[in-house]
Amino acid sequence: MVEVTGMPIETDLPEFSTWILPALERWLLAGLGLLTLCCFVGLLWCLLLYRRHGWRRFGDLLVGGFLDLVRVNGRRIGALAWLTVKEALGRRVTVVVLIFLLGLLFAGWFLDPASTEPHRLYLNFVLGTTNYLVLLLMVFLTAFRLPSDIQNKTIYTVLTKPVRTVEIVTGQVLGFIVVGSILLGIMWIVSYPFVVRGLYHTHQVNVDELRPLGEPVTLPDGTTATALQGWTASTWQHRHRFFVDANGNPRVDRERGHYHNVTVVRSADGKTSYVLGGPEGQLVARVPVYAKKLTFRDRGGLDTEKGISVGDEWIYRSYIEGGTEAAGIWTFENLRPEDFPGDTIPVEMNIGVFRTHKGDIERGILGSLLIRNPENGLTVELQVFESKEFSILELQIPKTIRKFSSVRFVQRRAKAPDGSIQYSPAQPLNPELLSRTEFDLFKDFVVDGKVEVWLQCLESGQYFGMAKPDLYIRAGNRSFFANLFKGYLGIWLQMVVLVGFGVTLSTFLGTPVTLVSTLGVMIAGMAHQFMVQIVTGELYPEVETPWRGGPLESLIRLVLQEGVMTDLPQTAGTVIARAVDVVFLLWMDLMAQIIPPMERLSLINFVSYGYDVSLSLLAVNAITVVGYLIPLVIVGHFFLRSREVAA
Amino acid sequence: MSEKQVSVATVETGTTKSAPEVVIETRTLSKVYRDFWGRTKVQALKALDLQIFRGEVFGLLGPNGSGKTTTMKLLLGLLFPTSGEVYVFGRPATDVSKNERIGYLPEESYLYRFLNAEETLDFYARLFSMPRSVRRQRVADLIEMVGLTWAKRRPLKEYSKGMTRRIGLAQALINDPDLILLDEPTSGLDPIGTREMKDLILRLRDQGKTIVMCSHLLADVQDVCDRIGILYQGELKELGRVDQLLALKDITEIRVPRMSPDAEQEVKAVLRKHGLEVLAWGNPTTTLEDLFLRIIRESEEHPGLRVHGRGDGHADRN
Ligand SMILES: Nc1ncnc2c1ncn2[C@@H]1O[C@H](COP(=O)(O)OP(=O)(O)OP(=O)(O)O)[C@@H](O)[C@H]1O
Ligand SMILES: [Mg+2]
Repeated sequence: MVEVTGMPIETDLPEFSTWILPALERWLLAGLGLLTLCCFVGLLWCLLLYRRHGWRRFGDLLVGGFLDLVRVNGRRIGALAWLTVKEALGRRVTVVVLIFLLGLLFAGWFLDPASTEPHRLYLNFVLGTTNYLVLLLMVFLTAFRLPSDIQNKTIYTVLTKPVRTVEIVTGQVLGFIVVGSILLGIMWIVSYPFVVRGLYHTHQVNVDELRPLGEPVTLPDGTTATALQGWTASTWQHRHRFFVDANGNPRVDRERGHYHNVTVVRSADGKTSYVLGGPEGQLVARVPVYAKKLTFRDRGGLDTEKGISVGDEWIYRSYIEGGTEAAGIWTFENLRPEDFPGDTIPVEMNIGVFRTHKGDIERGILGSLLIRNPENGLTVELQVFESKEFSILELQIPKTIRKFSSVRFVQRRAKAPDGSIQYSPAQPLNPELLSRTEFDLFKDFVVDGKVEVWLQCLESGQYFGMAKPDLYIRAGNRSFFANLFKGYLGIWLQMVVLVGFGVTLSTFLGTPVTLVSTLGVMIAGMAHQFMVQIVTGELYPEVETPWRGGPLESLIRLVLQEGVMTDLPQTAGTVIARAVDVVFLLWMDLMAQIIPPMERLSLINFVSYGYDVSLSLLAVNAITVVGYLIPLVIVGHFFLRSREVAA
Repeated sequence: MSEKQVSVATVETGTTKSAPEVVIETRTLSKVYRDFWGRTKVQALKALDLQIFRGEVFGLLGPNGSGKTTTMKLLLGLLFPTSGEVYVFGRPATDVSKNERIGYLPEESYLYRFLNAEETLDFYARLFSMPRSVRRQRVADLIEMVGLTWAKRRPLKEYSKGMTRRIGLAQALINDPDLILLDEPTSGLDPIGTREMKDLILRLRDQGKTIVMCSHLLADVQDVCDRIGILYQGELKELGRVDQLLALKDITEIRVPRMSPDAEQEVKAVLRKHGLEVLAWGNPTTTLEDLFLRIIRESEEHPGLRVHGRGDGHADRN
């Protein structure tokens, strides 16, 4: 059993195939809404400015604007993009940012190597800083480009050519994307050796300090030998436990997220010494196979959709009560034997623990992991484990399971709408199966690629909290270098959205206002989850009022020292406060729809915690970005087209 | 005058077959500059009616702030009319596709300072659809023509005003336009450059191109323009052919090649017999400058529309 710090994924990761259609539908609806709103505002504006000619101006604008969209020309976009690249790369700030970023890589070497997981610190530092700096650079560059073109009147010579405004907007967006790609590409290539080099360390092993372990054993060749145990020397304020088995094979334990390979060196005089290599196992890209769904069984043994909420900060986790029949049931699908070449299938889990009584805080809470055949109900207990907060437990499911006890028949019980209890499977299990002691994982438990993994908490009064991504099967590792690329791709996608916002805002705002607004989009985007939580009321789910307690009401409660559960007196003040809150929440709702989910686009955590970024997630993110870019470019086009640049 | 009616009909029906093709037409074109709150700042152009025909050089004159540049920007679609209409090549000025056939030299050359001459022209050329080889050739030819071959690799931020003006001109001609709008084309140019510019304008006219220019240098206008319009405080005060406008109608000019002293004596005698006094003997002419100043003076004394006073057959409007 190995413990690594778990990655705090706080949302369900969207699966591309199930995400795309509803997302497309939402996008089209939002687009339609946006179109109507823009048309309305545009018409109003035309009527105000041109009075009785307003209708005609509006008609010209609309028809001409859409015709322009059809007549875009790649060559012109290319020329305008080239201009943008040329301008941006010529700016001193771009060069300064690049030099600064490269400097960061060096600075990373001076991060505290004694931290528990230096690779995470390093990756978070390098990727995180790159992320912010590149985004800030783009905010800056986009805010200056078009407004200064208009102010310097250079736009006159461009607009008097057969250039459509959509080409100007697109050209600029593409140009900035090229600039960002150059920066991020350099960072990707250069940062890899820096990270590896920055994490490199090794340990000395003093052979004389090793102590014998256990009794001497007789080896096949007749000699006797004793296993040895000890510690490596300390480097960067950590050391590894060191073993040499009776056969003379050395091994170090994992510490601070890594281990070292050991080679045995025998000198001429017959002395043995051990040489440790560089750190291994920290720059990885694990591939988690997530369950299709997570359902629950309540304490009485009935199926439910959700577990219980214990008012924890992580709303999206549901809890099961220890010492009862309650369980979390992950249903995996599409498991194929050929995807798992080894003798065992590694399962990792990151279970939240909620203690109602402290007990021995050092000791984890005991839980049990079971595997069940979803068709016939055959169930065995795989392992009893000890769960600690915030750490990943790595367990192994052997492909050949040998069990003498704990083989059971488990029926699932669900309450039908009419109140009756339905059992699945309805038939009892063939008793002959229950007396078997050896099972094949894929033959006896997996039916059409489908299998259930159950988790129970064994200690009464304690709770386990879980969400779907908390338990997954690991299918091999992918290349860290490629995953690092995906990490940069995450930054790249954020940059693309932000460039879209920056360019579009700059078509009708001046430099300072564009700067502030784009910055606002960036910051709000990074707190997107929080915004959504406020709007959906997830932040205070226990407040059952239809108003859900907006910020003003919360403030009043704070001042009155009222808890969230009590009803406020129905004074005029509270009514007004609630009305304001409703407007605020509607506004937040709108903003949550418009502001891009920058948080989700960021993949830094995946890279630093060592999870492979799935292509599905990348596709979702990429399409999200395109979904933002298209309306942004169109809106920018119309703004610029309807603008009197020479006024 | 029949000319005008025919050409108006031409624009409205969208055909282009009648002889003097109207390239630019404005109808009661007005422009009011407003501030952010919609309050009037300046009434820069008032009810301008103007037609410019294919193949002519049209000069727009007027004191500073009279609305010349505003008119140009309206023609180009860089500004939107407050009321009235602008048609260029029979299409509304806001139609981008008209720009395929237009070249514009702004008042000051607003170019990208980080590009060099070659890059600048190449960039603008790529905004038109022309094959790569043609583009290369045109860029080289134009740099040659404006005499900047020696500085073509230097960024524009190092250019002098006249050099910038020259590259600006090259930029305006990059697409071999049919209509060329020049806002003060000779400003910033040295005397040789000025001469070259004027020669170029005449050469372009001979190629059948239409040129609209505004300038303060009246001698330049007089040298190259076929027709002029004079703007004062946003109103068109005068419009007509340069030769007719400059003709002094109560004075008769007789031009005779190589008049002998005998003939001169006889002619003077005849004039005396009719009681006519010879005002001048020689080349009767006035300068554009005189005309210009007179019109401005008159306008100050009698405010109001003074357009179509004489000259090109539009007087029937008044
Ligand atoms: N962007 C603007 N905003 C407000 N007023 C403007 C603007 N541009 C021009 N004006 C005003 O409109 C009037 C006409 O200006 P315009 O630039 O057309 O004059 P001009 O004839 O080209 O003058 P010049 O000979 O100095 O170039 C002036 O009163 C000027 O102040
Ligand atoms: Mg001017």
